[in-house]
Amino acid sequence: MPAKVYVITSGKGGVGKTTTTAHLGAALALRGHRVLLIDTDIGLRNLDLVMGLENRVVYDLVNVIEGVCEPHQAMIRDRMIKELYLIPAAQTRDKNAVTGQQIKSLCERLKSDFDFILIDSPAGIEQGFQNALAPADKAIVVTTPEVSAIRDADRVIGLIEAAALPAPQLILNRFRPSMVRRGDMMSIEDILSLLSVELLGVVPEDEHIIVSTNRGVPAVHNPKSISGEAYRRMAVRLEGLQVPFVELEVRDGLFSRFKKLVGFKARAGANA
Amino acid sequence: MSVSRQEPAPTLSGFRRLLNRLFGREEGSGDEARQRLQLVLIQDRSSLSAASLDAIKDEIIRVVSKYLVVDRDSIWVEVKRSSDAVMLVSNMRITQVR
Repeated sequence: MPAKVYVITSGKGGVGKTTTTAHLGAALALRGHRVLLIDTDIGLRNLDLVMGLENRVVYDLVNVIEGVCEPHQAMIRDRMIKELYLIPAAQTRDKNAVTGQQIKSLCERLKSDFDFILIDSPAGIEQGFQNALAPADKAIVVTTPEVSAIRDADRVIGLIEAAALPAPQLILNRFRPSMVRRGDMMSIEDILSLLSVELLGVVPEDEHIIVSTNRGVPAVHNPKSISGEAYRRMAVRLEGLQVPFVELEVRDGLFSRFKKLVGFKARAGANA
Repeated sequence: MSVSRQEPAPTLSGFRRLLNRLFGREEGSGDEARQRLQLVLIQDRSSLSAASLDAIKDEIIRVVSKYLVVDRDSIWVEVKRSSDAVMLVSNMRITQVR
C-alpha cells in the first residue's frame, strides 16, 4: 500500500511541530513501519538537529527539487531505527525556493517506498505552510494549552478544511494536569470542544523531551518518559487502532501524594 | 457611538469573579481563557471582509429606505462580541419617517 502523507502543522511557532514530527516518526518506525520525514521549514532547518542527524546532511529538499541529486541521496537514515529516513530542509534558501506542486510530485514518487510520510510544516499560514499542505492526505495540528496557540490552531484547522482535506486530528502538547486541577489551565475537553476536532494524543510537559532534544535522541526510546509513551500510543492510533490515552495523573511525586493524603492542598507551582 | 471590536465584555465572568470573591474562592484562569477563546473563535470564524461589510451596509440602506429616510453617512455595521454572543450590529440615524 502506498504511504499515507501527513502534514504536521500548528500556525503558531514554538508549540512543538518539529519535536512532534521527530517523535511520531520514530514511534511509527519502531513499530516496523517504513517512515520518511520531510522538513519543509526552508531557511530554518531543525528536524535534523532534533533527531541528532545534523552532521550527516549532504543534500537537502531544495537540491532534490532542483534535480541536483536523486531523492535517495538526500535521505538521511536514522542512527538507531532502521526504517526511518529524513530529507532535511535547505538552510540557505527561502520558502519560495519550492512550490507545493513540486513537493507533492516528490511525495507521489516516494509513496511506494514508505508506509508513512510525515511533513514538518513551517509556522505561519503563508507560502511555506501551503507548500507543506499541498502533498498531504491528512493533517495533524499541534497546539499547547495557551490562548494564542489555540486561536492559531483554529485558524489553521479552517485552512485545512478549506483545502478539502479531511478533518485534522489534534495533538495537545505541554499539557500540565496539575494546573488543570487547580483551575489555571483549560481542560482537554474544553480545548477539544473549542476547536471541535478529534484528539490524536496529549503530551504532558516532560523534562525528558528537553533532554531528548539536547541529545538528539527522541524520548520514545526512553521507557521511563511519559511523553515518549504518549507518542508510542499515537503511532498505534495512526494505524487505525484504539488505545487508551496515557494516565496523566501518575506524575505526582511521592511527596505531593503524601501532602494530599494528609489534607494539604497543593500550592500553586509546588507540583507543576 | 461606535464600539471598538476589541472591547472585552467580561460582564458574565466579572459577575462570577464577584461571586468567587464573596465566597473567598480564587477563580481559575483556565475558565477565563476558555470563555475568552469561545468568543474570539466565533468572531474569527465569522470574520467578514471589508467588501462584504460594505455590501451588507448598502443592502440594509436599500431595505430601510423603503420605509424611512435615513442619513446614509451615519450608518455603521460591524461584527461585535458581547459577553455571550457575537452579533452583527448596525446603527443609523433616521431623518424622516416616510
